[in-house]
Amino acid sequence: MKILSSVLLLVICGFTELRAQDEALLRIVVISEADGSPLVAANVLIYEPGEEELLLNCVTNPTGFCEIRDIEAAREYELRISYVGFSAYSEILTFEEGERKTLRVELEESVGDMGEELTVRGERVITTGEAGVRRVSTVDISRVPTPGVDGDLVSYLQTEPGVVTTGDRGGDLFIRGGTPDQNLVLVDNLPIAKPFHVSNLFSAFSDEVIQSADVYAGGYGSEYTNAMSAVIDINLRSGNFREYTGSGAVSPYMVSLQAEGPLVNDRHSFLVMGRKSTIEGLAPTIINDEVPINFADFVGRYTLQADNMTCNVTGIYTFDSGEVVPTQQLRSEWSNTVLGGRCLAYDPGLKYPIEITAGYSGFYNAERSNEVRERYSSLNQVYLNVNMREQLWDVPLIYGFGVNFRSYDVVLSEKFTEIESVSRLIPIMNMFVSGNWEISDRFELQPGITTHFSVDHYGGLEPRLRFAWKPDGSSRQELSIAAGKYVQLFSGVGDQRDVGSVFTVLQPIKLADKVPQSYHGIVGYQQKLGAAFVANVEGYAKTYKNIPVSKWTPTARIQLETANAKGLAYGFDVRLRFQQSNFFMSAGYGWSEITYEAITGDLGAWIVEPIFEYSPAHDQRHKLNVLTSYTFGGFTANLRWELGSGKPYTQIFGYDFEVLVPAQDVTQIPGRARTLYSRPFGERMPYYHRMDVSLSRGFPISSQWLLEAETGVINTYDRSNVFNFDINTLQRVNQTPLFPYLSVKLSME
Amino acid sequence: MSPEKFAVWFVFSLLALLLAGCDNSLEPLDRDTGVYSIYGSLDVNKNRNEIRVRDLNVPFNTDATAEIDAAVTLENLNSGLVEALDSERFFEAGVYHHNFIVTQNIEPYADYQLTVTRSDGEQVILTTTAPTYPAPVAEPVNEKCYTPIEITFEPVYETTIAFFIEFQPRDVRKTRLGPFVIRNDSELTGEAATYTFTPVDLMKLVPGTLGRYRCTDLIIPRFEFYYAHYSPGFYESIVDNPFDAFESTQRFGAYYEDQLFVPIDTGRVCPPDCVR
Repeated sequence: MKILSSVLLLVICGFTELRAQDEALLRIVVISEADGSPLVAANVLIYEPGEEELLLNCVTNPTGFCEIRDIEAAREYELRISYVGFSAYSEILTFEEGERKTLRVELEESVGDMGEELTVRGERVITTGEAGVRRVSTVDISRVPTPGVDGDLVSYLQTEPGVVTTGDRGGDLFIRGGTPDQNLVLVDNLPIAKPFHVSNLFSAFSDEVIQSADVYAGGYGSEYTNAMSAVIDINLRSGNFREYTGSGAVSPYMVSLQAEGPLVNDRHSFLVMGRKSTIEGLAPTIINDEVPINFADFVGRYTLQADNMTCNVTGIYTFDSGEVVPTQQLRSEWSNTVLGGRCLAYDPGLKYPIEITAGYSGFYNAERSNEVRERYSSLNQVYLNVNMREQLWDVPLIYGFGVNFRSYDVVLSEKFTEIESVSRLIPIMNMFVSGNWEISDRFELQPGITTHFSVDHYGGLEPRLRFAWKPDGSSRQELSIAAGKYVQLFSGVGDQRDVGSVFTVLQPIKLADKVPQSYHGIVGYQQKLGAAFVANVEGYAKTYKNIPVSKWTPTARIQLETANAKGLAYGFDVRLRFQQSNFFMSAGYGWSEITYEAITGDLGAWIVEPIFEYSPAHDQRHKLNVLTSYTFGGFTANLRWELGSGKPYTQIFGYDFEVLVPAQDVTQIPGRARTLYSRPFGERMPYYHRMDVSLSRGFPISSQWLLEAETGVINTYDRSNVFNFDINTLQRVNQTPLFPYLSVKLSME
Repeated sequence: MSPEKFAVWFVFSLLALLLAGCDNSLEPLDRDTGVYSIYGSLDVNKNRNEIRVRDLNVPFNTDATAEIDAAVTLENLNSGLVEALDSERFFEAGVYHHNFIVTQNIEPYADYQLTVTRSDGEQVILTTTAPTYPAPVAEPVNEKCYTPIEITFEPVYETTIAFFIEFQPRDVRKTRLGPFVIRNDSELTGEAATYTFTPVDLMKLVPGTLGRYRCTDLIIPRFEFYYAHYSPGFYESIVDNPFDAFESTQRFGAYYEDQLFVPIDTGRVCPPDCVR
């Protein structure tokens, strides 16, 4: 209650003027001169005119907005704005006492100007080097070869150490020991449950629609709740505010159409993109093999840029259907529907900006065989979040609260098992406060605390802390630490014995069960050598408690019955990144170990030890990634190579027909068929490695039309990487074989 | 660690990873643990018994199960008689099921060893001791409803006897109670297994009669015991769900079924029946 009272007090303070203010305030929106779109992470700096000592600064957020407070009035300042790829901006400003100045600045694109290196960090804008955080740009995404002209976020994410997939199908990401249901994916602050397609090469997020993405592999701040392991925070870009553009692309995997433009110049814009897979029909011709997957996505965004307010409305629809393991004759389906809006208001009448997000997110996943839907699980959410700012002495605070109505619906049916279902509506309240305390040029502290609760459970207080130390005061060296407690009021349960089954039962934590929680600790060190080379080393540990894992039974099936396990994930990553003129290379190596522990009797596993300790199916010990990109003569050549050690799997102990002798007559009764598993996760798959290459170039057709072509090969040396095996036939199922492709895209500029 | 040492370590580690990447084999079947599943019961009263044997390493498909790579023998360890068992198969649920035929008489209180041998020499050996075959004795018989009756099986050897009790009251269907279990865990021979009951207690259990039935309500003046006498541990392997995967595929033992009728006097006992 004390926290609630404190937050309410802050809310009241946020809307009212409690004291007279002598200092001035600058609110600024930085946009691109070319298309009027906001520029995220632009440095807004205030100097003494002609001097080089930085007085004040801020970094623009995804709407291009930032504000600088406590500006001493009645004197001159030089405002400088820098952004990579744009010409620097400079202007002399003066402020009157208590003035709240709002500026809208357009930056001109400058080809070849790499601009000033990012040296400033700000709220929700993370520069590289912070523990557990990767800021992903569209340039990063475009360097990963994918069989489409556009890059895709999920292809890039898989190049990160610590990000593990079950193979090249399934759409599940395991991030530093966490399972997919423990990841929170946000798009423009709207949650989306599983935006990754059944082909792990694609998600709903082409680099055509993304502005930026922050990937928190752990240790994230208090503004993120109800996620226990990782956060992927994606910001879509606005449509062009000044011109209509569009494109269409064709590749063996998919076709896509994209359009954007102003509804009212410099005020309203739209961006729409739709993609539909084609691989199911074309694969037999290209690789002489069936690829029974089908997916589609649609992303739409409306943006309003008013004088004192920026709003966007985002709509996303994804659909996936496919046989993850074709021999199983089991088709997995999932779909996401998201519709919501986010508004940032910074009217001079407001003491502090206010951000409001509201919307609906729906998700369902199902499994069917022989056209019969056997299992179904859905999660529908309606939510409202309000974020505000305050200043406590010199420490800027962000705080907020929200309510989330979550409706779970689960229907499980399987031959010879009874139908079990869950249907519940659960409201969850959350609130948080986070500070950003720059102790000195060398030390920065970001403490925070959050809590959330439902009618069933209270998650308790979740303290979070991020800390950065720059030994020499510059960004060349940085030691950063992140730690915190993370609680989740729902769980996802899948058949963990079978990587071919991606169906996940999303369910609230039962009243009698304890809530899952995790503690994260991350230490990172970054060193820049010269202007071209960056090295980053991180060590991390995450504990997991009260993780629901499905009970093991002799035969594979999904049940809502779960047992509680605890887990520990720890490891380290090493990243090396080199970039000079037209050559880019990065290498990342990750080592990790994940163990779960549970009481054997609770699991139902056939293990004699009272406590069973095992490595779950996503425990990949070694992962090595190399990514290179080279631009020459108008061409861009990209190469990606990945090597990963084998993940645990459960052997088959035997195929049996159980006869209940002597009651059953062996001469008449065949018995009950059962596939028996051996010791869970007792063996490991062989190593995996794959090389993908691509070569692309743009061909201007006219002043308005551009043809881009990309050719490449997925799995260039045709490595037979195992995905799984069919438990009924023991047939080995491999990942995608050598897959050549040619993609073309026609754009109207 | 110096930069040079780190570089050497890093390159060595990288090479080790690359070498590890050359192995691409996958063994989904745990061939070391599971060889055969065996479901068989040797009935002392029969001169032909069947034992189901299944190769656990063979998936569920017709071709793979058409033949079974197994040579099965049953040895009477007391007499030394070894019988090589012939097999029969039948097709059901898309696969062939192989039963091995035992033609020797099963002797009470004899030790038997079943050996299933694969062509590569891999063996599964199971043993059991057939139950003794005592004639049960009920005492006293032809007594009134309130007199306890003791049934004795002697001699028995580390054994379990499970039985149902049936009797026919008036106006209702034949009542069947059980199963009741008598265990004797002694490894010594000559021990007795006993069960004591009082007829009136069973009559009170007749469904739908609110406990008011007495022996006077019996149409046939007797209690019928249908019992099965099992070899050591066999009954437990049937009723308990084995926690161990391997044990759950090895269900082999000996038994026999028999019956015992216990006559009683259905005359009225007064008191207490006369005050009802």
